[in-house]
Order: sequence, then structure tokens, then C-alpha cells
Amino acid sequence: MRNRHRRIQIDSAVRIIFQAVSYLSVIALIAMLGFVFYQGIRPFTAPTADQIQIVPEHIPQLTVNGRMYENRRSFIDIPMDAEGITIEFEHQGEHLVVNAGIDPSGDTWEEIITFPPELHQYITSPEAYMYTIILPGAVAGLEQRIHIQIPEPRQQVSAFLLGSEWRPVYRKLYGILPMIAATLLTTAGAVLLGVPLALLSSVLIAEFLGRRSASLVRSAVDLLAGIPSVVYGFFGLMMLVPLIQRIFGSSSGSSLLAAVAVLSVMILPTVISITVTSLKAVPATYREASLALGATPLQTAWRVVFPAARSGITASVILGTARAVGETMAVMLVAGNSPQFPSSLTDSVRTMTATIALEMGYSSGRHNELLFSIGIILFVIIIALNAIIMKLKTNMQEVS
Amino acid sequence: MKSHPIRRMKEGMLYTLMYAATGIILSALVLILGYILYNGLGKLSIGFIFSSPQEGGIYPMVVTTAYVVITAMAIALPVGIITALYTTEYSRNSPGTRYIRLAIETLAGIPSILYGLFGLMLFSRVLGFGQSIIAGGLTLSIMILPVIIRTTEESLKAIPRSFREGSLALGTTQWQTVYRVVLPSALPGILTASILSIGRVVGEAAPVLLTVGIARNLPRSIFQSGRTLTIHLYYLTKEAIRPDDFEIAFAAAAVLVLFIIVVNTAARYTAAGYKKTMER
Repeated sequence: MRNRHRRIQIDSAVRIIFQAVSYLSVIALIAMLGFVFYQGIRPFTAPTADQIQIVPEHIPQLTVNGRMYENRRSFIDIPMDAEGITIEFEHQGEHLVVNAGIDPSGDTWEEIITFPPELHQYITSPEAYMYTIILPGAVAGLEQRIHIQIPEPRQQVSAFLLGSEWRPVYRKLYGILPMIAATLLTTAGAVLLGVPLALLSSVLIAEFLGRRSASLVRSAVDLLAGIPSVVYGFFGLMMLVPLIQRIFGSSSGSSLLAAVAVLSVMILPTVISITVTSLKAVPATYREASLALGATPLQTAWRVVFPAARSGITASVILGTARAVGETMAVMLVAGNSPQFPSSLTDSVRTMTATIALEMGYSSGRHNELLFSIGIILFVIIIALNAIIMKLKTNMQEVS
Repeated sequence: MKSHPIRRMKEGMLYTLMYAATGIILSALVLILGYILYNGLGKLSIGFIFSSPQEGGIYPMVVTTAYVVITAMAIALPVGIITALYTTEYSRNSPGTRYIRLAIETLAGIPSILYGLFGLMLFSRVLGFGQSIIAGGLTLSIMILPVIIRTTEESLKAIPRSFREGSLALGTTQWQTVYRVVLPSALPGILTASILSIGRVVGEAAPVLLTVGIARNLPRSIFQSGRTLTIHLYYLTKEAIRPDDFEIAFAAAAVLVLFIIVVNTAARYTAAGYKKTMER
């Protein structure tokens, strides 16, 4: 009896553990959305900093607005509402004073800080929102430098989505419209090219091929689904890109066309496997009734079975679209990756996914956060496509 | 009856189109596999796989890939099997299960690069693993969860109800039934799930690039960065310096292709074997 009691205890413990573990996938999904959204929304909610930041280089001791800093390596913060910046330090035995005015209401970043005219020859601006004062040192390479970093204002959503220039490092311009266009164009091209092929072939596999040959074709399609995307990209780069270069005589074959060609093959397995499954799910009575009315097998397949499987086929096309939108490595290898609007099929393009993968390695600050914002857009597209599929599924259940 | 010849011609054209489409798809597969194996098999040898990149080999990449696979599977396999057991054996239609199913379906549709962003954020930055094999393994374990759960669920659903009823009628608890009766019959399905997800992990590149990194050295532990085969192939083609880099790239691609062929054949074989036992 005691033994039985223990068994029941174990049973309920296992049940609780199983339930807890099962919710991990829900937690993972929520965490995923949460982290990407949290990081991606930040550039749109606040400026990069509240203060102007100063970094000295090769200046052992300096005084900023009356406060002295020794061997400072990190930022010296100056509030935006300060009246100005006064930096005092020793330069080649001389006591130097640099004065600059702050105007926080300036429209562009150049108007926020004003330097006296005699300093202009020493001031460079290596990138937007950044001034560097360079004073010659005794030895080349040991110049004294003062970097002044002005905070970037809140990123405008419209400038992000509709801006046509992506110059994240030097000009701090973050317009992703060319990337959105590239993703839409490559996806649309792949769907236009791949879906008809896939549908024609699916009907043949599901309705006309014998058991043996159908299973042979399906295992070929499965293999196509298993090929890693890098291998697709590699094949495209070694085979398609030179071919396109030769045929169109373009300077580089890495192009929109190459991306479309590779993607259209990559979406085939998704579309075919789901279409074949939904064609097979159409009840045999449909076919029998149609054939009994004197329709040919071909008419039956295309006019009766195909429309009956409509929801599943639409779902397969949407899943194929999602696959094309999300594909990264293959497109990155063959598309050329220039963030520009393509004017022809042989122009180089860069998709949203490629931008994330290419720049995540070296980006920092706002640039890095905005790569997560691109992730949000991808999320929104994928979730919208998923929602359509869910809707189709409930429709399908209602019909059957 | 009058339209017969025209209709026949139309039908003939449609048949031709369908066969042509299938032919194009099959020849695309043959072309891709043939091109890579033809150019890659010449360089491929045991020595190539087990020598360092300095000697023109890929040993560190094979080791890194294996580590990533082991880490991802060690996490995803138990979680996936338990989730599948819970949603099929314990609670088929509760509201909670519906949320779990919805989450799994959504996870299945999310592009791999977004898993990379998430993994980079949570495992590399917040949890402080940096770019390391463990960060990549954790990221990929979430990515393959839907594959494992769905395949396992399918094999669980195929087990006849009489198995469970017979066991429960003997006075066993549900856990005993699951552990002694359901799980053993689902093993072939779980094996198929594992094989498929190993194939997925080995072939994945974008999230690995973000979370595991690109270090070329032999990783000494799973807390170090490494370079998987797919990332190696990417870098070889993108940054080919020496002329034999392309040769190595072809050989690495051939390794990947051969591996995928083996994985697909194995998955097909286990799935077929499992269907047979169920039909008996």
C-alpha cells in the first residue's frame, strides 16, 4: 500500500515537472519578442545620451569647466544646458584654453557646438555627431586629441522606414527603405519563379505519379530542403554569379537576379511538401465524382482537386514567402550587398536579413540597436504571415 | 465532342508543363549536388578532415560543429520530448496546451537570423557567455525545439490507444504507462526527430555567425568561440586569399552535402522502420 502511495506521488510530481518544462517554449517565444523589441525600440525613444561627452587622448592632465581630470580614459560628461565648454591643458609646454559654445536648440548637430574661428584649422569631424581637435605633438602619432561626442537625438520612425540612405558609420544616416525594397523584390521574384514550378510539380506528384516515382521525387525534394543555405549561396556564387556576369556583361554578377534564382529554388521544398499533403487530403469521393461525370484525370486534378485544396496551397505559398523573407546566408553570398535601390535585375542589392548579419559584428551604439529594429520589422512581417496561415487553418477545419 | 482535338492538345501541353517543372526541380538538385561533389570530392580525404587550417584542413571546424550539435541536442532533446509527452499524453486540449502549440508553431516560422539576434542579446550579452559555443548551442536548441516536438508528437499520436489502455487497466500510474509503454514505442520517432534536428543544426549559419563567432582555433571548452563548418565555408568564399581557398571551400561544401545526404537517408530509414512496426 505504501508503495502504491509513493507511485502516485511520483506520478503527480512528474506531471508538474512536465507541465513546467512544456511552458519553456512559450517563455522562449515571449523572451525572444521581448528582447528584440526592447533593444530595437530604444533608438526611437531616447537620444543616445543626455550629455555631451569628451574623451582626451595623450593629455595627462586637463581641466574641463573648472574640474580637473588626471589620466582620464573614459567619457567626461558635460550637461547639454551648460553655458559652454572650457578645456584647459598643457600643450608643448604652453597652457592652452579651448572655448566652445553650446546651443542645445540647434537644428542640426553642426549647430549645437560653436568653436571660435582661430580653432577651426585644428578641428576635424571624422564622423557625424563627433568633433576631434587635433594638436600636433613632438612625435608623429602622439598628437594630442580631444574627441567631443554630441548625443544623437531620438531616431524618427519615418526617417528610419522611409530614408533612402544607409550610412550608419560616418554620416549616422539610418534609412532602410533600400533594404525593405530589396527584401520585397527578392521575395516577390522568388515567389513568381518558384511557386508555379512547385505547384505544377506538386499536382504531378500527388495526382499522376505512381507510388514509387512519387516517393522518389519527394525524397529529392526533401534533400533539397536539407541542403544548408550556405551551400546554396556557395553554389550560387560559384556557378550562377559568373554566368550572370557573362550573359549580361555586368561588372559583377552578384545581383538581384542571382538572389531571386537561388531563393526560388530554396522555397520549392516548402511549397511542394505542403501542397502535396493538402492535395492528398482531398477526399477520394471528389475525384470519383468528377471522373464519373466524364471529366478527364487532368481536368479532375486541376479543376476539382486543386481548388478543393485551396487553403492548404495558399498556406504553402505563404510559408514559402516567409522562408524567402527570412533567408540570410544564401542571399548574402550572391546579392552583392550594396544598400541601394536596384534599377535593373543585375544591380547589387542588400536585404534586411543580410544587413543584420553583415553589420552585427562591428556595429556599436545606436547602429547596433537599429539592427534590432530591423529585426522587429522582420518579426512583424513573419507574424503577419503566420496569422494568415492560422486563419486559413481554422477555415480548413470549418470546411472539413 | 467537337473540341476534342483542341482539348487534347491543351491537355498535352499541361502534362508537358508539369513534367517539365518536375524535371527542372530534379535537375536543379542534381546540378547543385553534382557540381559541389564533382569539385569537392577530389580534395576530400581523412587527412583533410583531421588536419588544422594551417595544413589546409578543417579539424577545428568539425570539432566546433560537433560541440554545437551536442550542446543544442543536450538541451533541446529532453525539453522537446517532455513537451511532446505533455501535449499528447497529459493534457491534449487544455487552454495551456493551446498556448504551447501556438508558441511552437510561431517559433517554427521565425527566421533563423532572428534567433541569432535573440541569442546574442540573451546568452551572449545578458547572461555573459559572450560569443561562445554554449551561447550558440542554447540559441539553436530553441530553434530546433519545434522540429523535435512536432516529430515526436506525430509518433506519439500514431501509437494505438489500446497500448495505453491496456497498461492503465493493469493498475499502473500514468507516468509508468508513459515511461514503460508509450516512450519505448515512440523511440523510432524520437530517433527521426533527433536526426532531422542534427541536420538542421549542422547546416545552420546565420545565428551561429552571431552567437558562436568566427575564431579559427580549436576550441578547448564550450565557453570559447569557434567556427562551425558553415561559417568556415562562408568566410572561405567571401575572403578567399590564396587560390587553394576555393578548393578547400569546395571540399568543405562537399562534407556538408555528404553529411546532409546521410542525415536524410537515415531519417527516411528510421521513419519507414517506425511506420512498419506501427502497422503490425
